[in-house]
Amino acid sequence: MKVLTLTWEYSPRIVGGISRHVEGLSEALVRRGAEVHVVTPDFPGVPYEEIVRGVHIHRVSVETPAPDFTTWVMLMNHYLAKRAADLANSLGGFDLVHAHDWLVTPVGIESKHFLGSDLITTLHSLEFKRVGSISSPFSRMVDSLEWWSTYESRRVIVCSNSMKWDVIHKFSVPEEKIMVIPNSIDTSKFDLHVDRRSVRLRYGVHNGERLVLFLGRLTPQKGCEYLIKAMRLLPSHLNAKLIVVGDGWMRNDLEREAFGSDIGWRVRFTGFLPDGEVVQLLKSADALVVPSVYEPFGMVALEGMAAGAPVVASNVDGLSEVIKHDYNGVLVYSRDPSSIAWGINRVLSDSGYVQWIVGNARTIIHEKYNWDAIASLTIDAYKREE
Amino acid sequence: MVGLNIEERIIQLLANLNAIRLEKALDIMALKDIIKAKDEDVASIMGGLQTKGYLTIEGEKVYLTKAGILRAFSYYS
Repeated sequence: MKVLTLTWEYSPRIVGGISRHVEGLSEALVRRGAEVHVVTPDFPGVPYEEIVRGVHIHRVSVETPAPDFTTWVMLMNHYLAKRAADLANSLGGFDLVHAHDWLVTPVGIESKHFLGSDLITTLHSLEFKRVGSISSPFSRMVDSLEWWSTYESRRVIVCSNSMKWDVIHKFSVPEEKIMVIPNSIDTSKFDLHVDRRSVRLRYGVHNGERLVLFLGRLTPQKGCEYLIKAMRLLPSHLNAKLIVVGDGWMRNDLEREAFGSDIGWRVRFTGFLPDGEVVQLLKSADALVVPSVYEPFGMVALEGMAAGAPVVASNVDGLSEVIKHDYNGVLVYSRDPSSIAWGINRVLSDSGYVQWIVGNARTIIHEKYNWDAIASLTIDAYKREE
Repeated sequence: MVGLNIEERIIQLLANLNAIRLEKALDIMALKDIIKAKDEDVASIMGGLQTKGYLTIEGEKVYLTKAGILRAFSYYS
């Protein structure tokens, strides 16, 4: 099976969760015998063409300057379509096209019609949930592209049941067209020994202090502002320090929020960190907090579970499907600093409880969220029903 | 880019113009023309963005670093 995969981000271009998902899935599909060609925008420091763990990666430069992001997206789609057409000509076509999210919907649809191949779309999140309402012209465009992708695709893949019902109700998509396939992670990258003490010291967390970790884009969707407010409500005897890993356009506001208060000295922003450093922090954390306002899945919660960090997460959307309260993590109310503080306090105050949820989390990760199982389900989605 | 502060406007501008490598870098004078803010404000903000690791200034040219690219597109993921 020859698959043309279209995505606007692929490692090391990691803006959100799409990159890691497409990378893990592509490699797992290759292990199951598929020939996968990923067409994606370029990124400094990596070649335009390479094969990584069997996946053919074709990086494309968006040569034409754009006046705004919308135009950039359309130009990016044009350049991806051009590369996809060249590849189809040289490789003798593709069996199917797999497009990831609205950003590559135009090239996905074009490829389907030009190549005469089936189109499969994975929607990773939905605009109306990301922004709360479809009011701006930009959101109307994104929402419409999301709908168009569901209309043109033979199969729509989503990562959680909550998202499946969102797609059904928002876009009137027949239920039988949608397949729920969860995200996964590569657990092997967590199989390493970490000197927790030295990692914690590197980030200013000393003996007797507790490391609370946030990992994600600094955008409203991720809810970091509520976590910073929650830190102010924690009992002082917990000696908790918050390490915020990631970046985004809200960073300045969040730094002002943190450093303008009496807990500023207990918060540190690291910006983007390399994967290896993130793994070391996850394995050294006393709590990983995922305070998202909207989270169709919540890959970072899986990473915390795999690393053995107790996870405190908002009881929203896909996160509430990944985390079972008091079993493999703690669920708290979203947008509620006092509830988040309660959850952090719960895991920082009871080591026996932490052992219980961390043990359960590890078991679930290995049983349910492994890439080979996810690749198998994806191949089922690729197949035409006779 | 209405409503964004100068810092964000610079980051978004460089991302949309695909100024992500030296060979695709934007002339600093051109950037100042487009942003339409006081020269000293733009220079100071660009210096700050360079210190934070979001952009690289080489001679009269400016382009986004890897962190700058990811920061710019964080709006849309």
